[in-house]
Amino acid sequence: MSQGFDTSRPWRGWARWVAALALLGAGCRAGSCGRGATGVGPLTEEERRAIPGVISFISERATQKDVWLVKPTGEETQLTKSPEEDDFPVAPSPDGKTLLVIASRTVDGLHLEQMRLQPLDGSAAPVPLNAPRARARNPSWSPDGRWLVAESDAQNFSDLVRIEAKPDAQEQRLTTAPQGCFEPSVSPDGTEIAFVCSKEGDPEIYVMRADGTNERRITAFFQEDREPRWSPDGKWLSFISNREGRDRYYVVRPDGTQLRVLSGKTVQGEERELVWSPDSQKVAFVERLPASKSRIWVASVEGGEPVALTDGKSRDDSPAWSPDGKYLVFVAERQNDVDLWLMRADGSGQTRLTTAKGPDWLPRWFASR
Amino acid sequence: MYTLRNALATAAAALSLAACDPQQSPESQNPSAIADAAKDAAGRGTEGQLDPLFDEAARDFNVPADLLKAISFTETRWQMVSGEEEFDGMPAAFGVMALRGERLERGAALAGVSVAQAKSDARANIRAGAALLSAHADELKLDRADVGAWAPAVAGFSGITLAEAQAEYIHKEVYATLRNGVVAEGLDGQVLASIMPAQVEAKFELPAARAMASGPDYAASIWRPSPNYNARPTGTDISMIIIHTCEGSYSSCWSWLANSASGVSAHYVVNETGSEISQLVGEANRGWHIGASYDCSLNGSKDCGLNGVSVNNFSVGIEHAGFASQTSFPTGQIDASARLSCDISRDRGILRDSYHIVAHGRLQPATRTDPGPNWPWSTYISKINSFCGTTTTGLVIDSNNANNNTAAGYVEVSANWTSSTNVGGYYGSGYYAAPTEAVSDPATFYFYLSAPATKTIDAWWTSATDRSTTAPFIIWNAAGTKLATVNVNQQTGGGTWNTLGAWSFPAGWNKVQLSRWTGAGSYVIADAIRVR
Repeated sequence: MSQGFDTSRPWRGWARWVAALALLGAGCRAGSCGRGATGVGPLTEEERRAIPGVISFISERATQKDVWLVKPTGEETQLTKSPEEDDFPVAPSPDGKTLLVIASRTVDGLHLEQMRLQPLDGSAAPVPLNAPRARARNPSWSPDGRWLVAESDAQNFSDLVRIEAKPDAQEQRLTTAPQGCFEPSVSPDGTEIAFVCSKEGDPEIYVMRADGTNERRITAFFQEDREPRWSPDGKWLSFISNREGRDRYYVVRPDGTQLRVLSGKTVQGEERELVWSPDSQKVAFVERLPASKSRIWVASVEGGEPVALTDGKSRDDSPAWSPDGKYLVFVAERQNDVDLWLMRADGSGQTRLTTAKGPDWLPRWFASR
Repeated sequence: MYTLRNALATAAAALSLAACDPQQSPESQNPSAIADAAKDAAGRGTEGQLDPLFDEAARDFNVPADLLKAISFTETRWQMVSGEEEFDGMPAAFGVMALRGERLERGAALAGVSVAQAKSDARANIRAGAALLSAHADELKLDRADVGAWAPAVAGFSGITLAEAQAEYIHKEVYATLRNGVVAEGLDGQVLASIMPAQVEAKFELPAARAMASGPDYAASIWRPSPNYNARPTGTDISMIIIHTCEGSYSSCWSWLANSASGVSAHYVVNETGSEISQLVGEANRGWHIGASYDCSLNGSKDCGLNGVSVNNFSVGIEHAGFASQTSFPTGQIDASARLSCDISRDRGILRDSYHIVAHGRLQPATRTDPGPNWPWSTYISKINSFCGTTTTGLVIDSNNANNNTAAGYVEVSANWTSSTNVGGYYGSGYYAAPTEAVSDPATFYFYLSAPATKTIDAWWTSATDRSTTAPFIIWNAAGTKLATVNVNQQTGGGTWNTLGAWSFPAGWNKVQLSRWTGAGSYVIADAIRVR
């Protein structure tokens, strides 16, 4: 109780607590709902040394967001350092030599984005691919690394444009819908592009040839279908839809047949952050849980119920597969910080990978060459 | 996650136990709105009891404990926030007391804690806030035993400079919380924090009793015009709505945006409970919210290469009282904001989807910024669409009931109908197929009308060479009267809406059936119907 304050009718402390306790109802206590997952770490140094590849991520250990690299052993390198802007790693080039980065900054209240090719060995300055503007995002590489497709507002609210991966490249406009097209994804063989367009009044999934011709519509539903992503073998497209009243992942053949939901009946929350396994047999994704928690699941494309890899007691997010498909890196908000963690593909051996104070997030794992 | 309840019921329950008299509480705030305001909100780093921390700090710094709690509730709903800098000139807020910038530093120094502790540790943050409030009381030489007399110190603590906003903050937010009381239950089942209702009046000038004018574009808003705007470029189509969080409380947010010194604005600000919305800038004008357009002519013709077609030209900005770091947003706030977004999108012809109604942070390739990872996007966009009705799209009944709002429409088929995804171009998640023969075994699409209306019925199917050329759609009204039979050739017209006709339907459950009773040897396809 506070001392000496004369409200008209003071409350005795115990009356307050009796009153407050009278409110308590039965409910689901933290950690008591859902099933736990495997997850006791850590991995041994020996096991970590044998894990292939390198992981790029965003770190906010400085004031701005920079791109860093970390090996599975925990050895870190800073790749970009731009106090005036935030850098977001997008995807390594297919030859593994450069990282596509989006630099974002604010000039007099105007938000600007610029795509850049950043040599991974730090040997040269980054190569800008576009003049800074409000929309230069969601780029997707061609398999040969010679071109990419991205969103651009150079001529419209949001067009898809094809850009050669070299300095001062000209943009080839592939779509012209005034309502905008978004989120392009180049097929693994480089012949087609899956994307989203809102020209029917709501977002639908489409596929067109890589030159912008022969467009075909894949989905039809009055709610939102977004985020098309090819399986690495090109046999499936995954996408997210709220057609059932919550965001869920679906797969469909690139000809529009065999559409089905991925996550069975086990997962009840909204889904996000899907990533295909390198062998195209599985997807990892995140289920949003109450109280800012989230959980990582793996589902088999062949069907069956998904398997939880994390226990849902913290915010576990943004999974990415190792190139050999045996491990996952993910972002976890545990121990009062946001860091990258490693685990085996079955959820065991969870190991903290980054430890610097400040959030480390958005991991992309690729084979270093 | 914690649950908040208005303390009046609690009070009554407790009074019967504690043998005290119930108190009258003036209803200046909607208690259920208060309770809703942080329902399901988890205090990051506050999973534990805050009451003892408030009580200890109040004792040590000689301030009223409930006042300290009410300020904290007004600012953060008792959540440990880790703020972002939303507006130039307004530093980020931290902790349950939402301490910022110089005030954070001063409070920490007065309380003998480090700035880092005051940012991230609930106890240190509350002590820094209590020390700061006490310092204001010293400066004002107020009567510390009179909670009402603390109001000017609360105004000083708030950092709000606009007199009218101070009055609103004190009377409608902090002292209304004291009068209504509120109890929060934490994840662990413990009481997180509580304020019992008390009769207390702030000794502070009341908010101006002028008639509140509605905003020019939204009748359910209060017009608080900001000078911080300019004309949009000629011929600009408004095509986006940008969602922000204030990184602070409602009064501090609108007063900052209405202040010419701040140089920033938004078109609208929605308060924590959704009970009030301010309009600051006309939609036709360009607000200076983050992501606003850039006009080189306003800036000494610098960086004119940045002009041209840019999404930044085309947005209406909505600020929401609260923080990107909060773990959930009150239902009332989401509802009020969705109604507002519906109105803006209808007036401005903005597409109601996730690409045109976006987070401030979604302008970036990836985000951890406002309105934060916990803004319920899917719910929000759905609510906007439901408030705006289905007048443009019509009511669709899909062959998969998982995709239907079964209160408005659903499908029924017998086991003789096969679910398929073999032919592309279907609506939703697949379709039903059945062989034609002389049997009464239709697929039935039910749709509900709340009032009699003339409606056009469309049907969707997938086409192939084995489809019936005389697939019979039968239209029935709610009274069981057959209105028409329409035979269609399903070998063509696949993957699109095909109009069957228009009929007058009564209120109630009407239906459209696809019969199998037609020339044998082919298939009929029940995929979806649309009622418009």
